Amino acid sequence: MANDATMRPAALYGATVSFLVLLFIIGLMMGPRWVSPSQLLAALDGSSDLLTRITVLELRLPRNLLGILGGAALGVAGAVMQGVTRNSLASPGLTGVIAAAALAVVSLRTLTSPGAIWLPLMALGGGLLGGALTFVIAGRRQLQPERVVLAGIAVTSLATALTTGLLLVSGAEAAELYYWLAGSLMGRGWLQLQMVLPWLLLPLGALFAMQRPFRLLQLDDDLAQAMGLAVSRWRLVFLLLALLLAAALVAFTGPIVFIGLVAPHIARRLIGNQIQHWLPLSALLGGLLLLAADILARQLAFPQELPVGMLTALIGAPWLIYLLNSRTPPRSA
Amino acid sequence: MAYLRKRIAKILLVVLLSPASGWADNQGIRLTDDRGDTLQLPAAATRPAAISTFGADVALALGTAPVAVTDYGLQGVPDYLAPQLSGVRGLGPRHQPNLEVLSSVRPDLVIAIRRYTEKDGDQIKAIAPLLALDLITVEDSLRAVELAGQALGKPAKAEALNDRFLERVQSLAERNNGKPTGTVALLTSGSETPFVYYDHFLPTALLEHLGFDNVGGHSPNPDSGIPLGYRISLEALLELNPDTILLLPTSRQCAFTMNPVWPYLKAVRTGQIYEVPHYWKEGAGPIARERILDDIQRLLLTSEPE
Amino acid sequence: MTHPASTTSRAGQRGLRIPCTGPIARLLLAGGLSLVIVLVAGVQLGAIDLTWAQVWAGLTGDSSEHVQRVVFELRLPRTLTGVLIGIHFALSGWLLQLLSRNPLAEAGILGISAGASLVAVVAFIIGDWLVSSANPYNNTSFALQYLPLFAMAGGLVTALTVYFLGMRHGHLSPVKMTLTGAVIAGMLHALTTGALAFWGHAHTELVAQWLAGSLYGAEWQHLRTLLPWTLIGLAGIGLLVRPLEVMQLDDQHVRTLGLGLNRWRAFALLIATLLAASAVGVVGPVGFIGLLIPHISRRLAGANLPVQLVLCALLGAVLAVLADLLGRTLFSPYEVPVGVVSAVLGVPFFLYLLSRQP
Repeated sequence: MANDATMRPAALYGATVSFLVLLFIIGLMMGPRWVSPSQLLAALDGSSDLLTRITVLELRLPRNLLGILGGAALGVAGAVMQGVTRNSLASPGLTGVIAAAALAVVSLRTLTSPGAIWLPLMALGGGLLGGALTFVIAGRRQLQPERVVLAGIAVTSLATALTTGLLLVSGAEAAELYYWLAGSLMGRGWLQLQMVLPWLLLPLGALFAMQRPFRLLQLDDDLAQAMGLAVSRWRLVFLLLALLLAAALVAFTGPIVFIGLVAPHIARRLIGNQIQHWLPLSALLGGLLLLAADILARQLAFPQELPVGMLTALIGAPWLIYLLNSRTPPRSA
Repeated sequence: MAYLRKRIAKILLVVLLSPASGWADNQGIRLTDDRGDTLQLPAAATRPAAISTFGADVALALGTAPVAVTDYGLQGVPDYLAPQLSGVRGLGPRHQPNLEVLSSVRPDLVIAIRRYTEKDGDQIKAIAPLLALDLITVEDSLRAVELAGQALGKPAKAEALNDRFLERVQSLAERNNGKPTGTVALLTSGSETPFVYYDHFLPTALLEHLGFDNVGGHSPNPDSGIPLGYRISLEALLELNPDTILLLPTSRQCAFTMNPVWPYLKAVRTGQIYEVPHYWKEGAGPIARERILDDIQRLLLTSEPE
Repeated sequence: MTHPASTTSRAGQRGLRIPCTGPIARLLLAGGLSLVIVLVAGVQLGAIDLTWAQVWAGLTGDSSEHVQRVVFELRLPRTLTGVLIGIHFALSGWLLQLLSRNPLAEAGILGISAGASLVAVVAFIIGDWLVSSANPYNNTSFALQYLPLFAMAGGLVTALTVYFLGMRHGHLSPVKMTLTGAVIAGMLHALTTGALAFWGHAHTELVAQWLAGSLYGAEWQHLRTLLPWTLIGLAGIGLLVRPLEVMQLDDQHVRTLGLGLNRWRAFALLIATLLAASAVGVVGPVGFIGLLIPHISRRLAGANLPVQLVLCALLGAVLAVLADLLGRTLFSPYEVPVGVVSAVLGVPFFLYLLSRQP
């Protein structure tokens, strides 16, 4: 029974999906070169000129898809982390996962010339270390929200210091790496999408299949255990999957923060108590946010492109501050 | 043709009449560098220290071995100068030269790249007179070589280097005149976010002199020389579709093959992509700029049908 | 941890009490001695080897120009600046950890480092565009001269924003302030990286060096810029010791004592901010000192605030100078910035400390 403050799920899904489709189409049309709807159709059935066809099919289409998928991955990762730690401030960015994954990739690219397959693996390793460090520092039992945040900040600043140190010896590559560190979807085409797809789809699929344990974990630990759940094991599995999603994305797009924190919060607000819709809605909203940020990134500094990481920060941070101000300090769900 | 000749003559005129000229008298040598500061050298310098590749390059070209040079960290000194620089004291990276080491080698002149050393100017000046140079455009290079020549007490040789360079550019331009040239782009990293250089950057300016059309376009900030270029979106690159693409070296393996528009670019399909060596990035030195001309000649001009 | 009966300062007493009982005295002596040792090492060691005689000659002005320069113009101001920033960051972190009652707080949480960094990057970039048309010789020197001031202003504005946004129902909520600070710092960091990526292609190495927190090129001028803030900060802390002791009790007790809690909190925050922002303005963001040193000093000094304070300052200075020394001697002639070395040194030690906590 939906109460007054929340929307009916069907309406919610309908609204977000329509927004998503709308943005997707706008994203196909928008760019340094505006492509009109008729040109779009022509490109899709192969009857337009080469430039338009390449632009739409090779540049914008995979990029939009990556935006949606990546945003969904971040949204779900954030929701999972918040749910299983019962800490509404847990997110890949605030727990040091993203910064550590980025450090791993930067060190790989500075010290060697890696083949593309190593990047997500290295990012995963780094993200794992970063996340583990954060939770260790925060203290395993207590996990008070602010402690986790502060631990995450400590880990993030460590990772950033080491990254900056590495950039000082990377010589000519430094400018390229700085651009990568700002987070961007530019130049990600079918090849990159193909490479990142398994890393994103498999964990997402697994997570959606494990909805029941997920819901149970959000209750009290003892209660969940009483219902037959091996609490710590499941928690670990979920955190690992969330880490996988975030770190794999970082390997391909660079660090993009705030989406994993904002999307679940908005989703929470919209669905209230209907927890079963939290994950799907976080995914949709995450995709929406990243796609919107990317479209803005393409247009605002025409004819150049801003790094999308700047825009998610500009969109996400004020929203979060508004959230912090509009209710009591976020505690457990 | 006449246009090119006029252009080169104009450069020579600018160089000769620029306020950066100095003079030597029995009070020593007085120079004005690109910061507008005046250096007073009691005599020709014999122990120059180089903070930037240019310094090492010009010192070697003029026959005065530098006593200390900066390098690229893990990558060491530039390859094309490495044999001549063996045993020379290292100063660290160009943006952070080790002042203690610099002091210990007791140089009597420091030839530096301006935009990286300006902040430490006072401290470097305390060690030795600092010749801080913009090293971005062709004019910068000519003036810098001339200034260095005066500082090192070999003005005639420096002038000869400049004259020879300009003559060579001119003759290449004349030979190439009338032949079909095309558009060219100088990129660093063709992978996800290519960076394209403007027209005023030395290598692209040379290409323009020789009749090619650099797709990078004019700089929006002509007085300053910075920025050197901009990040070009792939769609824009596709639209510009240069006939030839020159890639500065990047340490990523085959980075450009990951670029989604890569297979569709005309230059890629016709095989007109070339990797150019690292000294294209810092080409202001006499040796480097001659090599850039060699590369251009080898890659772009001799392949033209007679 | 010993708690000799005479050492706990009583809230009703005036002035600072640093009792001279055995363990405390030994502690302070050890701290002072370490500081002297690293100071001496900082002046003697470096990229160039100097003998003791040469160092002494350099200090007394009695040697070759080169040695004089190295000792007096390069190493001495650099080491002393290191001492000051170590004090600044350590004391700032100590205050913030007390204020927010959270052992993981430091200046970064107020967004000071992030705000200063953003302003610094923007100043570097704008320097290109500002004066180019007028006098081509004057491009970057304008920005560079005033960089410490700009960066400090950036840090202050950010801290004030975080402070105001961290108010809840009219008074400061440490929790909310922490969270707001985290969000704003994250946003500013993303903006800084973005700005650098987008506009800073010609200056990447320079800005990267500043962003890493570096004592490279520190001279007497930097010391002169920093010293007034050190004195202001120390004076402020002197005033704060008693109120801080009272604040260590929980809020209810404090209110019954009628202490005007909010005002003292605000003042403490101001001092912490001034200390951190001025240091960041001069050398760039150095993270770990403010995080790690207060932990160590609390461990060693127990609940005794004045002793914690002195120890904090001493150890902060020691860590900064040591980190800088290691950074510039290990890979000579290359230098690892003090921010990176203190992070590398700090983390394992930090983990060790935390693992010992309940």
